[in-house]
Amino acid sequence: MNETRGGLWVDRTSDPDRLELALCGELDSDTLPTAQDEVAAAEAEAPPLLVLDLSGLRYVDSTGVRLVLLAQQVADDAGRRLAVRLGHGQTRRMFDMLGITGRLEVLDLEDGERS
Amino acid sequence: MLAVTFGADHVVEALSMRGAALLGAGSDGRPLRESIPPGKLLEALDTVRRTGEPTAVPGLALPAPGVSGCLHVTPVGDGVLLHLEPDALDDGAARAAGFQRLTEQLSRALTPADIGRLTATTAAELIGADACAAYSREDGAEVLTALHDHGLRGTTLQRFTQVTLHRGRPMSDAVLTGEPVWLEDAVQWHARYPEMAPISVSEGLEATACLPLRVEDRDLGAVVFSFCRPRAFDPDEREFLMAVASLCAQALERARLYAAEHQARAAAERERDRMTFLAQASSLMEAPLSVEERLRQLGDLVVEGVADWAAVHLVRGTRVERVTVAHLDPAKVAFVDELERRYPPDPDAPGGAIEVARSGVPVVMPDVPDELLVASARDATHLELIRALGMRSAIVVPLVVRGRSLGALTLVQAESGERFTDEDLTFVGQLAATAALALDNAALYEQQRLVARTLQTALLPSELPDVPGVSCAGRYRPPSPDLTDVYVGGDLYDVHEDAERGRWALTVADVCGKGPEAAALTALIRHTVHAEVGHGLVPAEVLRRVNAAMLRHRGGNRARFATMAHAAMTVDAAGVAVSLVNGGHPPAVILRGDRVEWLEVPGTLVGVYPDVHLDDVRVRLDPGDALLLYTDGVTEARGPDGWFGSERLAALVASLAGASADEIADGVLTAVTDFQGGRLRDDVALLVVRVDP
Repeated sequence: MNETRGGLWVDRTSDPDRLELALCGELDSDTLPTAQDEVAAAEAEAPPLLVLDLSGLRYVDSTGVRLVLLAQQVADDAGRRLAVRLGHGQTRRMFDMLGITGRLEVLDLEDGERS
Repeated sequence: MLAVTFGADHVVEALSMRGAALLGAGSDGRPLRESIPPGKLLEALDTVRRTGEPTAVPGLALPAPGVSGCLHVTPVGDGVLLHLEPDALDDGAARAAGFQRLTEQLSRALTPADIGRLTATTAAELIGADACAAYSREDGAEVLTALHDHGLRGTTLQRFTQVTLHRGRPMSDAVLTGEPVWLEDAVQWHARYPEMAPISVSEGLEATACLPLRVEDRDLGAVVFSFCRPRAFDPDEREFLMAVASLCAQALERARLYAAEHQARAAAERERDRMTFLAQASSLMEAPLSVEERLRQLGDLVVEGVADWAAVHLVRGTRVERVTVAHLDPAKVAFVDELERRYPPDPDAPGGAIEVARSGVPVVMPDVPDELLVASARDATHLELIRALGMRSAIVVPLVVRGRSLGALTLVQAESGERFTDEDLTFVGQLAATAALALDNAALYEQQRLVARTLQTALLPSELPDVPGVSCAGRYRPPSPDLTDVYVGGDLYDVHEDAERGRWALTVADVCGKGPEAAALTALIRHTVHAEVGHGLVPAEVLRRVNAAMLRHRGGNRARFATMAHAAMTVDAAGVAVSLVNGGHPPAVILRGDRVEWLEVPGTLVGVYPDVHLDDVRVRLDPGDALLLYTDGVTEARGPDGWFGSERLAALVASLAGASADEIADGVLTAVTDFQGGRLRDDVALLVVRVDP
């Protein structure tokens, strides 16, 4: 687990067919570089499925959306999968409002479901 | 020799230091009869004067410790010569004790002058020399400098404070060869130094020992002991004198090292002070102040510790203007102001700030010569006034950035008596570089401000159009008030008339990110909306065109997206009809009376996906109703009380029932700003339209 300035933690778990990054704390323009580094490092391993778990974030702004959209683009271009966990709080509400929840593979789309 | 007297009262004609100490006689011209107690000595003086026969007073106890001996009294004209011959028996012991004392005193002496004084007095006394002088030699110098001399008043020794080394003279020979020169009497003087002998012997100095002062192979000077009477320097005495000289040389070497260390420490401290000063100066240059104010404060900082005067000139077009002049005494600054008012500076004066500012070549004047003042003075009064400034030394360095001289920094020393040398050029140059960089940054900042202002006017309407029957209010606030002039955000609000169809287009958009890239997208959105509205497209179709334009512009990169609320508004007799589309934007708020409605219209953000889900929704506003469109800087605002959030916004808008469009816009902006303690986390854009009641 890496703690960074501005209070973003990234917890990483991996098994042969998936790599999951759980982001905790705050994701905004101050902490985006850290998150991008972590995501880039994960992408470099070319996992068949990369999961970005944003459900543990205390705060996220449009920066978080940018992170997901960029990761989605990388995955699409490489023919791999990207999935997200959005939880059911502010993060999910923001993705809903932006009208993109339906365009992402959301693992915790239904209440209580964990995949 | 101790003294020479004259007449029946033994008036002192000449007195050695030693004589003064031993006889308790104050000075020349005073009778010894008054200063020495009646007794054996006074009787001997009277007898010798009367009889003309020399005598000796053996076993005389004298006040100085460790000194005892036989006092010889010899008739000289109408007076007598007093001379002390130390007891041969006590010689060894007395010298050992004296040597001990000298060692102790020299070990405490720190300066060459102290060492010279101790050698010339204590050591001379110890060996019974009548005169002694100590000289120091700087590294390899051709000149020896007297540290101290001690002997008969008015003798030759006192005339030589500087002695040029000259082979064939006793002291020079001792220094140059490193071997002592022993001259035991007038005969030896004449034999070895025939040129010098008459001078020395006529002064009454018969015997002389010149000893080089050396430590290892370092040549530090010489010490010269002289005697009024011939003296055989036997091996013991030679060894003793050489030991004294060696002691003296070691003390001088120690003093030299001490001075060097002291100097090195002082230099290090000065360097540290200057580093501190430079740090202060550069933090000053980063302060949020105008260029002029920064340079004024730099001048004030300089006169607090580096120079008596400081001035800064700046090149402005074809002219060079003085921005500041500083001195600790405001009266002196006023004096210069008055001086320059009466005699405006000559732009062609050589070596001056103006020339340096133009040429970019620094000038160091260790001394400000009076001729320069005379040459630059217009008339006698002017000369008098500039002389009154008391300028002694000056340094003028250009403020150069990227090879271009922007001005000059002038430092002047006056009443402090300090002096600038070429060595100061580095430090003052660093100071000037700091100031120049700040100037350059200020110029860049100015440029950025211009770019930001230009961009912002392209992004935001300078004023909203008059819509009959409706009042509109738009607000934009960057994250920090300091940034108002330079920040280019991605938020946009606009009201734009579609005259052909009698409609008005309302837009609030938020491009993710900030800076020029975001600004470029914001401008793209604004102009695309204008163009497509002009083509008569419905709001959802306008957004699809914006989406397509962004995708073309971004070349498929999903990093940049925008959210937008866009509406077409038609004014009719009963109020206003609104057709609204929402591309991933926070929901619009409608205020009817004191009731708040949310206009939740699902839709996809623009700029990312080629296919976007967008729907037009129709809504009516009655007289007095208001519609609020805003960016997420409002609801996402975070303060000590958590999120601003939609509930707080709804309550706030409800509380603004009956307020005008401007009051509602200001009310929301103030509440959001206050909620975050005056500092916004994100920029905020708002648009309020209210149907006139």
